[in-house]
Amino acid sequence: MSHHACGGSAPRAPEATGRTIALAGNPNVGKSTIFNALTGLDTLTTNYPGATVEASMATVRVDGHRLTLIDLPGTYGLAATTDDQRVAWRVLLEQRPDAVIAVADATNLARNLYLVLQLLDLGVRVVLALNLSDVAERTGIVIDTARLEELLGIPVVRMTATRGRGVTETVSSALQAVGRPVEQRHLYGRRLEEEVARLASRLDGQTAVAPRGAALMLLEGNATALLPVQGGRAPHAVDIQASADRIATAAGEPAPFAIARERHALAKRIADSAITTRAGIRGRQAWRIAARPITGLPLLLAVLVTIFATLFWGGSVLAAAFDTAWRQYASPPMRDAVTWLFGAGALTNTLLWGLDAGLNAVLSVGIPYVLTFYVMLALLEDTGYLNAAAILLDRVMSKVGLTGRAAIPLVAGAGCNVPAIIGLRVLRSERERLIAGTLITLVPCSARTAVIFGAVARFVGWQAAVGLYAIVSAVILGAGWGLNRYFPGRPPDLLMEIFPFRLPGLRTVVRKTWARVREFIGVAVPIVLAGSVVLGALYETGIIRAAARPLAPVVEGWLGLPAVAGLTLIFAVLRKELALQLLAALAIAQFGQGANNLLRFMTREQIFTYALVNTIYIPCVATIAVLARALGWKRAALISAGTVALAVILGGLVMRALTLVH
Amino acid sequence: MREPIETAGTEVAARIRPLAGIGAGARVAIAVIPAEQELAAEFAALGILPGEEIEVVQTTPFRGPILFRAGRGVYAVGWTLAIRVLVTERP
Repeated sequence: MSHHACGGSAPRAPEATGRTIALAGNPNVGKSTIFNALTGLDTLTTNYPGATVEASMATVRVDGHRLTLIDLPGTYGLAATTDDQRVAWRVLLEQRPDAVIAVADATNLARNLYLVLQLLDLGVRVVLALNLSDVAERTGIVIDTARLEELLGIPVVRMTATRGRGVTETVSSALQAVGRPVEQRHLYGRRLEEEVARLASRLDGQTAVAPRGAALMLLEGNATALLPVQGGRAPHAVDIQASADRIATAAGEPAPFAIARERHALAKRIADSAITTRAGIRGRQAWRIAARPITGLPLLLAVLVTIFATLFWGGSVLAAAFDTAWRQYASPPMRDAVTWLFGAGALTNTLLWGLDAGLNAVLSVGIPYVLTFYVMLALLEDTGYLNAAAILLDRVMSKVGLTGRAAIPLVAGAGCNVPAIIGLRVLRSERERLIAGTLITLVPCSARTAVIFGAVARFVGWQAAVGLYAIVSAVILGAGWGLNRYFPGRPPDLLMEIFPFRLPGLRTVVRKTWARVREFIGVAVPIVLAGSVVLGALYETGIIRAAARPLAPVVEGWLGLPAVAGLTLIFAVLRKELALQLLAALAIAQFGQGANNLLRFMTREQIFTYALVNTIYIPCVATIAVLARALGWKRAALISAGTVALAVILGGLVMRALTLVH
Repeated sequence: MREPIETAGTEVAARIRPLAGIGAGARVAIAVIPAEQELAAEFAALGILPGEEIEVVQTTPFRGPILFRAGRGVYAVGWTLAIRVLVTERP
């Protein structure tokens, strides 16, 4: 049965017969791996983060059931004090999932059970998935699942998500649990339970969650705004305070601490009685190498060099291979077919801009570098390296008003700015989100990297590409330093968990990369096709000269670039790598196949300046849109305008400096 | 180390120090965590509560983060936060 949301907001029930299952759990327990494993198989519709709810949602088919899967943001508790926790809350209250799969790290069961107990308190139907069961067993932890089931009154399934073990079993188990009554077997201390019962009796039928859970939340001092308590019988704030005070007096500490302490103690007792072997638990200390400056800094440098070298060599090998393959096997039949259909002339030429040059550009400029980068990003994420590196970067980040925590979205921004900006919700303060959001838009994403490598590294040399990254890094640090000084408020606090290193699973890396590249192709190809055809039409009709003319003072006069290059920069607002793809298409149209050598119509200095301006000026439309959602339209517009001004000023200065040197 | 003639109350107070400045390898007990609701709730959810024993596993030069083990987890706190987390050293 699908439930309907109580309270103010409208229910967004999926479909009448469908089930809704949410994935909850601490950060880094493998929820997304499970989500990707399930949705990768049979995805029907997918709303990516930032759509209706800011949690990933997908409709999948398991055991012949059509079900909506929601991946909640990772959280240690449900205090609803941070944005990601509020999202988790909203999903629980509004979407009313039929069951929640609580994903727990089997190597740290006690702490993971805290969230499970909290979910059970709220009357949620929970299935516990013990992920990382293989790692737990290797480190000497044996968990008696039958005992856990008995103590918690919920199904418990062992899982190794990276190998796909136990994933469908867990979902089947959750589907079977739907319809069964929710049991609640655990109890806290007598005094706490008395106060909870007192409040709960007055909340019966008035909240979207179980009255017991609502009472606990109120005593923990939060979620008052989130619990749709209506009518006059709801407990008065004074009564809640009186209960909280009695708990505090008895416990000798504030009620929220007392409740957290009791829940942790109970979680530990349950974990201890379910873990049967504890012999030889080995600490996993590899992260120390990455987090300690003396070894960590050389490692960080090595990682950066590896990324750069792989992009340079791997990307260019792929680029050349794709380009050759396209020219030999795809281009001639494509040309013949279009010419046969529409005859030789302007229409055919215009269409070939998109279908031949445009698609060739996607293959030889976009995909090679984007694919290479995403493989490396998945490796960095899955080993846990980024998490340890955040410690090293904390000091630098504090200079720009951020903490090491923000290092992760900033690095993710090098893949794509869009998910990185959505990831800003893990940052606590508005100030932090504003600074990090601005800086992310300046981080060269894989599309801009494709332009840097495809143009600068390829035609000018890798040293020039390193120089370009150095300039952009200086711009990011300078902008951050300025923003930190300009915005009132104090720098945020860092509190984060350090995860042990893990061997990345080939399966997960491949799936993750494929999901991202598929997303890239799905979005990029139509835009590139349309952009190339429009530019082609402008070119074939000769309008391009007129269209480029208004840009001439800035593009030719100040930046020293060909005016048509300026036009491609404008098109690139749609997608940043479009700039180079259109430039390549322009070259092919002008000089024929195999002529996408930029040096034919641009100097080395021009190529460098072009890539620099393209990297810094205005984020792509998708980024502007999520930025507006995260920070507001005004700020998004201001940031975009700021980057344009910065790029134009810097581009002109760099062009002049380069010309002086030569 | 121990003060010669002190009342019980001040003896406890005398051994309370900020987490920032505790050396790697030291085992201490959390005494006070910052009162801001957001931070307090996060510490509480992690089980880092007054009285809990922690082990400092790494300090980072130039006022970088302090890493400590609590239970089966390892956590990092930035220097400015570590100044406000008070701990009791073992006698």
